[in-house]
Amino acid sequence: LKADGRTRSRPVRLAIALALIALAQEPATAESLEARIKAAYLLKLSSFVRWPATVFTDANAPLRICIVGRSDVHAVLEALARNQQVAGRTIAAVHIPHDSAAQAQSCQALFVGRNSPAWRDLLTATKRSPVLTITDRAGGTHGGVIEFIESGGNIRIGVDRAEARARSLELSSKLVQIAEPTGR
Amino acid sequence: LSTAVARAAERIAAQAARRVILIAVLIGCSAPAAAQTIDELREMSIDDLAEVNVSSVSKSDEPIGAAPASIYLIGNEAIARSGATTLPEILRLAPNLSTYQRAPGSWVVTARGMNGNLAAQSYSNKLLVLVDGRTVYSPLFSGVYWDLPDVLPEDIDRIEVISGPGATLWGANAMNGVINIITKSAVQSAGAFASAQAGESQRTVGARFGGSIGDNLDYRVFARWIDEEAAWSAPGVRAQDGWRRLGGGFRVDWTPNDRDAVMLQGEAFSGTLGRGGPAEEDTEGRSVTLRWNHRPSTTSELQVQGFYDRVERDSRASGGGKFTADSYDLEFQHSFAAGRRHTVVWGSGVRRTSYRIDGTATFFFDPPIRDLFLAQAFVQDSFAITPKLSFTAGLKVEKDPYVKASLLPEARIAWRANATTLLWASASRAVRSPTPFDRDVEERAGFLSLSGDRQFRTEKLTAFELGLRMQPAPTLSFSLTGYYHQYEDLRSIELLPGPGLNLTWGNMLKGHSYGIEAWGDLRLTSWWKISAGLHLHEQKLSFAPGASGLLDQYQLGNDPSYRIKLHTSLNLAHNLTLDADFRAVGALPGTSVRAYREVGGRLAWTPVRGLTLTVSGANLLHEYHREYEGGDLIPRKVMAGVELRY
Repeated sequence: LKADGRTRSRPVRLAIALALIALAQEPATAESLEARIKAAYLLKLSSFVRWPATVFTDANAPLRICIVGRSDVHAVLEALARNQQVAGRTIAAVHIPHDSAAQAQSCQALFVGRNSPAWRDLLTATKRSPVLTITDRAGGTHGGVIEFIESGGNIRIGVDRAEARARSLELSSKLVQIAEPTGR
Repeated sequence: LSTAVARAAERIAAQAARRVILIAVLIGCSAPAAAQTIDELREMSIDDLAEVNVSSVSKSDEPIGAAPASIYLIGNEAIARSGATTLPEILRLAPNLSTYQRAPGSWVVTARGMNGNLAAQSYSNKLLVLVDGRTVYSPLFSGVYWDLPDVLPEDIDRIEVISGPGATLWGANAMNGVINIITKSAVQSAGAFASAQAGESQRTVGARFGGSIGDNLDYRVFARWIDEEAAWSAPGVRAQDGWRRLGGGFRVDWTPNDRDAVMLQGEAFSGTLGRGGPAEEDTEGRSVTLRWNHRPSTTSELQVQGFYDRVERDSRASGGGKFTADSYDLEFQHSFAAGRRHTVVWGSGVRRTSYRIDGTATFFFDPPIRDLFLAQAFVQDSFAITPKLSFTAGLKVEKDPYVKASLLPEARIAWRANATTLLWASASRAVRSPTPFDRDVEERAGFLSLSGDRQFRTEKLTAFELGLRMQPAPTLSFSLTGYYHQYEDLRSIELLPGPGLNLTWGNMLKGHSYGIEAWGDLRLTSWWKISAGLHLHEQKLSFAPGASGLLDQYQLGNDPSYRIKLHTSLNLAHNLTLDADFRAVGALPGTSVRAYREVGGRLAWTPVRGLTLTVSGANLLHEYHREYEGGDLIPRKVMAGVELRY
């Protein structure tokens, strides 16, 4: 058994070396892939949506993407949005507390990423306002204009067109095409 | 000669397995890694995003839990990626549990030892197991018939495995540990899902459909069939103990407003278990659980839950008996913040179990019909002494069947040294209360008899634990727990006066156990994670003065001194995942069960959206191996599977 141990050490050493190489290549982001993909979605989605011009106070006002309950997604979005523009506007990633329905009114997009006692308040407080609500079934929230649906390890999106219309949001046909219809 | 050949074959198999792992590592390194950097994410289109497989590696970097206890979480993805098909197999993933397959559908699962001993009629009986708040251990002997509970693995949200006493908060029988199986809410399991797996030794088919009615009512319905072939009693000899189970049910979640949530679920199943001959044992069961959660404010919550559960086992066809047990349970729990520093949880519950046992001439219960009544009330306060230091004290009063009320106190202290380090310690008391098997059982075997002990008392445990949980780097986390358990009044076998060999139970064993539970996760890259687990356990029991001293200290369990687990999860490509696991388990002392090493794994490929093809295996190194004294030879398992999602 001892002799066997000797032959074993070589592949083990190689594996460790490979592990160290892999480790060195890993970027410094600590957030999970799931959080990164959702943050990227939040950034990309805004280019498929047209808001009524009245929601912006002036031509230089940033597009505010608010995030509730997911500081990790917020951290990635903040990094993603740096020096980026959508339809000529800079992006502001804002993390808001889950019980601040009033703040939600000032957001153009609102991601309610985790179930909390007041999560529905956030949706109702912005009802009929031009806020692109985004919910996450895996996080226990649903009923947003856009919904993250995890299936088989992939994160896809669902779109509730009626809800978008009620909020005076125009969705591009491309978005409607790739998304699954949700809502009732 | 044959052992030499077997050894050579084993060596070759082990070598091949090592190579496969190495190749997997090499492939993994050269595979296109999933999107990681900010720049790469920016480049991706919205279609690209939908193609990234996030099941992995990624979600498992669980945050450092605040709970000052030895808790291990088995998440949904870990379950899916493991290739495990039944609940006990899934529980193999927890490093703080020991699992032994005895036969198809027949398992022993323990935390911190006491795995039982068939020859001494001692069945592992010190765990509380819950499925969505419903207890599934048998009130007849406090152990679990693992062929009865089942859930669709896809619909499990998480399994919380707590080793050590958890009696105060969790409920009766949480002596050496708690297994809390929580399924997804209906909202989280929307859509259609179907899966099938088939191999020489096992086949499963499962399906679920989830949808919603109106704005705030979600539901799912599911069904599952498992067919496990008989294992081997000796090389080349089938044990005639195959297992089949068909079950199905529903879950409805209703959230009428922001403060209330109502859940209703129901389930029914029927199964058969081979008994070594042509005749089989039939099992049947059904249950309904209703739960109401009310959150009047962000700092308080009320939960009221009731369940009904019926279980039936009928082995009359194979010369055995039949029993039915109907349980009714009602409990509530209220948590609230008292001032800025206190969080109080209190609650109470009652359970009534009515059973009927149609025994045989050689194995029966006296009386055969009985009602068991259990009532409990508890209060627990968590006090933040400073922002970093918190103290939790709890007390439970439990009125168990047969005996007077027991007091179960618990104290825990937690020091959060910094955002990523938690140091904790605890002292607690737990009991296993008498069951019909301890009090009323009657067995006859020629000149030998065993009668339940009408004076049988509760078995008592005082436990001390010390734990450390750390996340020294974003990609590395680990947990380390040391424990010392002091047992009193454990069940022993005593002699009754008179001619012949007439035995009864007694409470004449005592002793202690100690050990270390350790596990950790290292995320090497965003597409590669490795985890390891270790459990070291020592147990010393001795007889109290005046005991008969029959059988030895192993009658309550032949527990291995070590158990090691290694797991690697790789995302080889955006639609291809590979998992491999290795376990090494020490010999069971006092038995013929030797130490063994085994590997398993799963390869999953998703060629198109909604379709996943899998190949999975378990116990791959040997054609068969034995895990438990008196148990079967457990064969290698290889399965091919398909999963459909819509």
